[in-house]
Amino acid sequence: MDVSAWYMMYMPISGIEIFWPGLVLIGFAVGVIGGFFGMGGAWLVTPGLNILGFPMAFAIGTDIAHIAGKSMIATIRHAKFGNVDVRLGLAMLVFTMIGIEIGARIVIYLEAIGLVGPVVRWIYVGFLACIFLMVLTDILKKRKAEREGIKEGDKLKGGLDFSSTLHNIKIPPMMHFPQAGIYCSLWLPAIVGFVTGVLAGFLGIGGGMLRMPALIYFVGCPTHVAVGTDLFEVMISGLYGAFTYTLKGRIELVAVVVMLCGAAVGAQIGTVATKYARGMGIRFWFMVCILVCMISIILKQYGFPLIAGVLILGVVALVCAIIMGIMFKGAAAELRQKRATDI
Amino acid sequence: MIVKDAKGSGPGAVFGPGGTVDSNYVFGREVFLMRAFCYKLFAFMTMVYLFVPTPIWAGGNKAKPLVHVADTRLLSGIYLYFGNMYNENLLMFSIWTVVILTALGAGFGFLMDIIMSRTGLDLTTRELRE
Repeated sequence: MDVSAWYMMYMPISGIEIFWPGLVLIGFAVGVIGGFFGMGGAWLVTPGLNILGFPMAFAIGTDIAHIAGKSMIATIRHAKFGNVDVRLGLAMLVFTMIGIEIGARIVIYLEAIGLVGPVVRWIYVGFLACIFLMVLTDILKKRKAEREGIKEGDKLKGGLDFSSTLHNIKIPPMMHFPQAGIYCSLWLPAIVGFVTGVLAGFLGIGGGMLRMPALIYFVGCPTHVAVGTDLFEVMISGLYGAFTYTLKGRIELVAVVVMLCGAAVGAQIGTVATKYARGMGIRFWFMVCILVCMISIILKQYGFPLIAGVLILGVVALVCAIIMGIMFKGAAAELRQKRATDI
Repeated sequence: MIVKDAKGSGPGAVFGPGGTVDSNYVFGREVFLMRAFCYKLFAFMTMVYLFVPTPIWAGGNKAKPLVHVADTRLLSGIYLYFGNMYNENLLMFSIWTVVILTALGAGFGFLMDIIMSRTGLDLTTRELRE
């Protein structure tokens, strides 16, 4: 097996040569962004693989397999920080899977009556717009409250809060989720998991983008715990997704391994950056990603896939740089403080 | 703590050290049964999830089986082994993929943990700041 140059790598299944540093870079970027926001990041991997010339037949399967591995790396780090509420993740997981199944069946039904395609895309755009507006309202309300100095203990009041109302619905069994610091009915995370699962199955996505804000606004998780717990779910569902896609022969394992090398480093940076970022900061940049994802779908819908791809990759590079800045600045400050304390 | 089905205390009463009833841990019968029900429900749904044959991932773009044969004439060593497996036994290849992914994910995770722990950063605690 001879490759044309050192920077090219032969993919044994698809039989093509790929620019492997590009794969490492994509893995790295997804690691940083996924570790910071707690989502899989399939929406940014596929255009990246497209640009590298990766065959589309293998792109989605490879993408999901890589996301499963990357989420595992990030989950291990988040778990050390205490950001993963395993009990909450498991409570949601089964219902999420059932939801995905139902969502997938709705798509099959729509396909049978010839309504799938643009309908799914526009509904996706609609949901992204809702999430964008919800996070934007939350941030603006919180900023206003900060300016006015409204405080409740150490916790600033003023943002969106549906969870307090939902926690008052006490349908047994009531459960305590220690890491998230929530005591609520089991049915609350179960229903949230189910609904986000239906949407994920219907829209053909992993669901991290929907689940992370749902965990914050409806279940009442602190942002950091929402990120860690969501990654825990993405890890398990991603492994299952990787299995089913491999069964259909749609995976390039060598590419996954190469991407994971980049993701291993990226996920550490993204995850450690959450330590130095405020929850509101995470939400703000999450909102930016949602906006870009929404615009890119609209561009694709109107036949501008190249502009959509360039836009996504440009913003990914920018957000990556910002997250790395947060991490390195925070780490440097911590080390300085540590040295000063030691002296 | 010892869990007993004690008379008068209802099933699931939990006794603290020395056999004294810890009132914080006394569950009602209903809650106890509801928990048992939840565990059964969880186990049942896990079984449903594991054994439902429909490919449930990514409903919007259903993946159809791909008829593709890896060109093993160009391969050697471990590439040849996996190339042959891909062509001949896709189920085994899928199982291997999941095993490799899990091993790599966990391996990279713990390796990076060792490396990061040498940076001197506190990687076990964080302050929740909203």
